[in-house]
Amino acid sequence: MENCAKYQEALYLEVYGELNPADYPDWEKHLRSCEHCRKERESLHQFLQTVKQTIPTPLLSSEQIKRQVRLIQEKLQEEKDLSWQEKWRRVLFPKFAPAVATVCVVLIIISWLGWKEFKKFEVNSPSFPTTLEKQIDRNDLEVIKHLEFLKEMDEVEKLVRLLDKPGNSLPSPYPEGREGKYGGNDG
Amino acid sequence: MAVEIESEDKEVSLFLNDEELVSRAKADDPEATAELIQRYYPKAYAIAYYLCSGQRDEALDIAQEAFLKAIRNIKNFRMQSSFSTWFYRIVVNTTRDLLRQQRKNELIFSSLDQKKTRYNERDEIISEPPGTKEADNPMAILISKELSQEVRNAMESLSEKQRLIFQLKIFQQMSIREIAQIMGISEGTIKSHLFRATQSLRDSLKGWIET
Repeated sequence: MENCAKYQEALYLEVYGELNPADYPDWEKHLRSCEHCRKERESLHQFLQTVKQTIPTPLLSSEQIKRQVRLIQEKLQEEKDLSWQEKWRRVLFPKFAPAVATVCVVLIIISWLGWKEFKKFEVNSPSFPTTLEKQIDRNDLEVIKHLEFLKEMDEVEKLVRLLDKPGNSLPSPYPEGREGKYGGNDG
Repeated sequence: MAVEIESEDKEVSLFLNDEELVSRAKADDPEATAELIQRYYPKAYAIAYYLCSGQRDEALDIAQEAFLKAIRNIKNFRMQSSFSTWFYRIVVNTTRDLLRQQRKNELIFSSLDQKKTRYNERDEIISEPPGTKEADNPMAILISKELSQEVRNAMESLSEKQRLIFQLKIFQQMSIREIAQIMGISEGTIKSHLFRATQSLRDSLKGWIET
């Protein structure tokens, strides 16, 4: 039994049909004297046979094989007939189609967001007057246009306020004592 | 006359070895290409069938796709290994790519229903249980079906690498050296994966298969 571990590899290799012919004599000598290894060899052999039988190799009829040969040859011929552009398209497109699609989607999103940002920038930028600003500008222009008039109005308003103050009387336009025929005292 | 030449060519290609067929296929000989496909299609299909857990239609598609890849790139094949090794490598890689894609899709759509359907499909595939006597006995058929389902479940519990190596060795009877070349890893690593896979399957199927 102690020696059995040493022969474990030989046992497996023999069952697989892979034991080196040079190692056979030693292995057979051990086998003759070791019942455990004989049983183990038999058991392993049986096990592998059963596994093999359980899943039988599927067989193809000669007709099926011929059909496959024809199909492959047709495909090869079809490939030969293709132009080089078509060949490249066929090789590249299925492989990179998802990547290309993703890149396109990302580009669309980026450009859409970018456009939105650009529009925002346009609104905030002083160099890009919007319609509102244009409208404000028009109002300003109106103000500037009538600025002189407004100034006059402002002065008139100040004058009116001054006159409206209690105790304020309109100063006489005539020199003192010479109020004339229209003077208050004439009345 | 042209037909005669064509049929003669066909017969000639039947007797050519792989290397000669590959040389002709490289020179765009359609007969040689057809012969290569015919020669390797059953094996490619069987590999794909086991690797994608018994899904027949997918196995057919994988075998077809692997041939398309191989023929498209045959001019790059430098004959440093045998054509079979080079081609099986393409089959294995095509299958693995498909399985990865499927896993991704399953993650995205988290389709429990899909899994159920797949198991149902498998049950349909296992139409004949092993052994002729058992075929007459309904109980034996039932046990056999359950056993085959257990074996499949046990296989799926293995890591992808272990499962692949076990299937190539046990079902396709490839040599360890060939598997190492196909998978691009050392023979020692293949052996260790193979032992572990076998041990793990034996443990999983202890109640089912007397060992």
